[in-house]
Amino acid sequence: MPSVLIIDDEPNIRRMVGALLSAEGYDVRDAANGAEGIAAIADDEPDVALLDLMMPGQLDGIATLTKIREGWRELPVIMMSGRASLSDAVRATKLGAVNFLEKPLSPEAVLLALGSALELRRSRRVTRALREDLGLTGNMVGSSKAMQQVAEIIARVAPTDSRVLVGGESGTGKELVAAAIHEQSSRRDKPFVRVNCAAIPRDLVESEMFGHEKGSFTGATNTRVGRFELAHTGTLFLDEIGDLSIEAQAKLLRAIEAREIQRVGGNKTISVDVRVIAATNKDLSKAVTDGTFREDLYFRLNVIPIQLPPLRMRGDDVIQLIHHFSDLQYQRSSRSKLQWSEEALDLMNRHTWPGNVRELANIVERISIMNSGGVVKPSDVAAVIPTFVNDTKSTQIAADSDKSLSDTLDEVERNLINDALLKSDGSVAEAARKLQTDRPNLYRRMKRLGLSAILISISCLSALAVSAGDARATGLHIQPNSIDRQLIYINPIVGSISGTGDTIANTDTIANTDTIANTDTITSTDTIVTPDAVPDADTTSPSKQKQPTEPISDTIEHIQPLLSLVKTYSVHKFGFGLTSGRSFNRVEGLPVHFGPTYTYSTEPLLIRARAYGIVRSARSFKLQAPHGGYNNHIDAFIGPTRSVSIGARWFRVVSPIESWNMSEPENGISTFLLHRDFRDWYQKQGVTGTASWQLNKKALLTASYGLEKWSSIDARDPFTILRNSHPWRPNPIVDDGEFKITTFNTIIDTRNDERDPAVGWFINAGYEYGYSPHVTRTSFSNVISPDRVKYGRATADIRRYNRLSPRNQINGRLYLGGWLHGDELPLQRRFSIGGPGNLPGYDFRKAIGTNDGLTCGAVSFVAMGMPALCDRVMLAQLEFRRELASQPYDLLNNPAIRIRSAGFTVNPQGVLFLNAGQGWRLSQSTPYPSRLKADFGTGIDFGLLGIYAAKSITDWSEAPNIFVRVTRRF
Amino acid sequence: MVGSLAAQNARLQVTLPAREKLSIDTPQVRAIGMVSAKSTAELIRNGFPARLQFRLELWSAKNVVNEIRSTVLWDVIVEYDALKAVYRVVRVTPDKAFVLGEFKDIEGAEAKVAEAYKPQIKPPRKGEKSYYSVSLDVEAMSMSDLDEVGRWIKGELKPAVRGKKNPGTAVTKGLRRFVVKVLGGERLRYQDNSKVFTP
Repeated sequence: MPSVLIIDDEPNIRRMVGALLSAEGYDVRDAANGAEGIAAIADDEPDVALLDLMMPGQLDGIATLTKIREGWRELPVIMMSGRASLSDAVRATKLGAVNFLEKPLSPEAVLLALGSALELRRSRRVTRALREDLGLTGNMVGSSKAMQQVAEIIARVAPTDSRVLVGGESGTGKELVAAAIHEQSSRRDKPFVRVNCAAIPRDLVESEMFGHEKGSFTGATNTRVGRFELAHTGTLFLDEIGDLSIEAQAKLLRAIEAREIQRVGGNKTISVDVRVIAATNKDLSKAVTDGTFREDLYFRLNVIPIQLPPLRMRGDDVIQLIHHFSDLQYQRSSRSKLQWSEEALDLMNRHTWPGNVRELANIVERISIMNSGGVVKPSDVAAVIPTFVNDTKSTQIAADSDKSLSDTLDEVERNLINDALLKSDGSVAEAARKLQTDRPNLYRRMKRLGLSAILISISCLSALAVSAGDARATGLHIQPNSIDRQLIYINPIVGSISGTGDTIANTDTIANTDTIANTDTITSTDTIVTPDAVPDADTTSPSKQKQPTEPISDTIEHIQPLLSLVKTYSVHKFGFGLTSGRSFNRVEGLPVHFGPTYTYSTEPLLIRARAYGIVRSARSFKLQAPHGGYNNHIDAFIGPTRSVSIGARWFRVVSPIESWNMSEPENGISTFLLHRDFRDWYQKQGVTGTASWQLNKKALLTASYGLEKWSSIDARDPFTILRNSHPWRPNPIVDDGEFKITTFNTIIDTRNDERDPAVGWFINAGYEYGYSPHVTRTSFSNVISPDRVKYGRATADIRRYNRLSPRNQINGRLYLGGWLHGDELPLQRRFSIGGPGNLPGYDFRKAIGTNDGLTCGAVSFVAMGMPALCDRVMLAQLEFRRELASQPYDLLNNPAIRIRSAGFTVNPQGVLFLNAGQGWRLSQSTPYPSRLKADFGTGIDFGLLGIYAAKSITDWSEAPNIFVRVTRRF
Repeated sequence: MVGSLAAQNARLQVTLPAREKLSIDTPQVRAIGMVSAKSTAELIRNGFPARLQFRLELWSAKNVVNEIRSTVLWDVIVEYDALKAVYRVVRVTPDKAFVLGEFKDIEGAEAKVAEAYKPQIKPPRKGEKSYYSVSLDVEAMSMSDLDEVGRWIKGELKPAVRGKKNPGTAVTKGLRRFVVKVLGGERLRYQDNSKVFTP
């Protein structure tokens, strides 16, 4: 019998309506005012309430209605009034009244309204049952610290309209979180619409999301309302958002930003008020980095990140969940309630649950079905999870993965430490005791595994990552001090959240909680925080995660474009690149490299390909050699961190003979401005294969093999700013031939800062083996015939940076290079200690009249265009730097200098330096009078450029030399 | 207060804790006037988040050659949420991210960025002669040139080609950007050192 509660201060109304409804078979109660009504509902909730709008006292009809809605949301309330205005009716309806009856009441109207209200009540109950059946009640089971923090985040974000991005492994309950947020929000009575983005065919995404008009496309036989419209005023849950195609992401972004949609085939703009909650089990920040997920959409969705912990990190929640799902099974079926033995629970608790809560629910259901009653025994558990026969977490990991032994052992170790820390509430000392080891050892292990104490103790995972395009750029003449400065980082973060103005509890301690636990810092104000970390997080630096390192391949390196037009299609990026080719020189003038680019990016693989043509501006724009060239390459980066790469290049380029002592951009600016090209050039054509291995962030190994044809090339007559009418120094004739080149190279970089290193090592060492069956030797060579050449040479550039005090540094460099074995080096592989020309800063060779070279060559051979001839060289450099100002000069507010967001700061440093070098010829036929050459000098380095003066020590008669360098000396 | 902050020249400061707390407390770092300059604010307003990349190093000065004892890095990101029309300031440390607040104007964000912050760096041992060194790189996140051109055309970036302003300004901006790339990229770096101290 349906029950009705009549709340009205007029006794006659209560009596008359009560009589009517009793006659109709309703169970009727009444109350004379709001307070009594509330008490009656609290005592026994009726199916429908009839409520008078105008009642005396503090609890009038509206106030009573408000209280009912707060306490009993599913109770339908029918309002009654004899003097109410339209606005009262509207207000009551807005507050949730299902109907409004005007007095005097007619029996038909009352019965009709009651019938509708009861129908609504039934619908709500059915809906609730269905939602409960689907587990979407918003109730989260679990009392672990991690889940408490998730619940806290939900409670804080639910009342807002902020977008939420829920992350976590499959089966952790992301939809439950979304449902819980919806249930606790002001939209709880509005639709909760779920969209599984992974399940929508690509072509139907727009129709599914935004609906379509009849006839808008083949098959659109009816007008269809999209999910956005369905979710209007409610919550739209976008599950598996990471599987949405790039095209669909763009449309979704538009809808979210504009808050309006258009149906497919329609021309009407429809406003939608939707709270978007998205979920994914993918690392969206990485997807952004990889280019498979739009960065702007990521930012829009990731306003509040909530990362759900995997079940294996939730401690005793497993037991609670087992009982919860057992109860559910009992309620849903006629089977007897499962009773669990302690041993069975222990086995369940020891499982790693790779499928998380969903797996646990399935297992409980299977056991419920298989169990004929009575107590669940360990054998029952083992029957549905066979791995329990030899159960431990480690064997589970080993059995389930294809990982290497070391990775597996690491994971086992990580799990053990995690567990110990969890049980120790994050105390490393306590965890060490549990693991029967000492604390320093545990710290070392945690450091190696990338674990931190707070990482464990707070286990609600969240992720926020910001990525950006590659901000590196190279130019015509000036090489940036650090081309590897990256903007990209990925920082999974974990923890609790608090509202603006609150102090964060348990969050502002640092990872090394045993040494610092400062909760009294300024960081704890005005903070919403989602702290903690995940085991594989890179905790070294938010800005230090590197892109794959480009392989090193002589001078045919990857060239960053001046202009890059890129269009992204899913994992594919097609583009067009344009670059200066890094240099301006007397052979090419400005070489313009341009052509199509392609990038393929997935989780384990990154492929980059470029096909650049080269046009040279040195008085000619013809495409054929030597006026044109090409530089194509394809590289594949492999592995989770993309630390291994293989690549191939085929090219016809102009290459410098020596590149160790002056950068291309620096030489270029000198050439372009001053008509001074300090290098010699030759043409290189061929194909090279390269393999690289980035051992860690500090070491890179590279090996390459190439088939190359080297040939002499004439200097041309490019335009220069100053002294344009002067003749150029001729380019020397080199040893032409076809060579097979094998190289091995190692870079070790421990500098604290690549831009302005203050401490650390930089070592670049390499070995090259070359073979050619036929070389056309020049007159500079000692060997005219035979023409077969086999040689080996090695180079080592060793730099050490030391800080003496906050403003003083002393840095040193040692360069060693030369012949190791085999025949005499071809001219392209010879060295000088000062470069082929009169190189400032390494001023060991002075121009003699119009002649410009004297490196390892007999005096009689000195001639225009003579190449460097040393077989071995050694150069040592020492410098002392002192910052001249305590703060860098800020040119920020100078509009003439500011470009884009940044401008330039200069931090002048005084420099005192000392250089010493020596070159050797090894040939007996042309002995070189080897002797040490040295100079010293001083200068000011402004960062953008440095002005120096040097004086020879070994030849005191030489006049001081003044010069400008646009990069650091080393 | 906010206005005065914005008007100041950009600078970075590291301040030591009280003398008696040198071995247990961490220094304060302040970055003043970093984001409210007109063009920076304009870029942020147009959807380019600005990133301030901090590096604090603790150096030991007890030997002739100083040694780094510990390093901590963190970023501060200032972004504009066009939907909520607020500037959001986020601090990102290696394993955490803090939303420091949302502000209606860039000056509010600037004031938040300029607040003193105590990075969680391990202080020096007692008796060890030390000093702190802090550096800051300011960079605007870039996007594909094509995306940017597209946004120029759509008028999302100001000065826009089709906006009320002189179209030449957009060209000038493009040329400036080209020049920046030719010159090797922007460079906006600040640094400061504390006094040498012995806790």
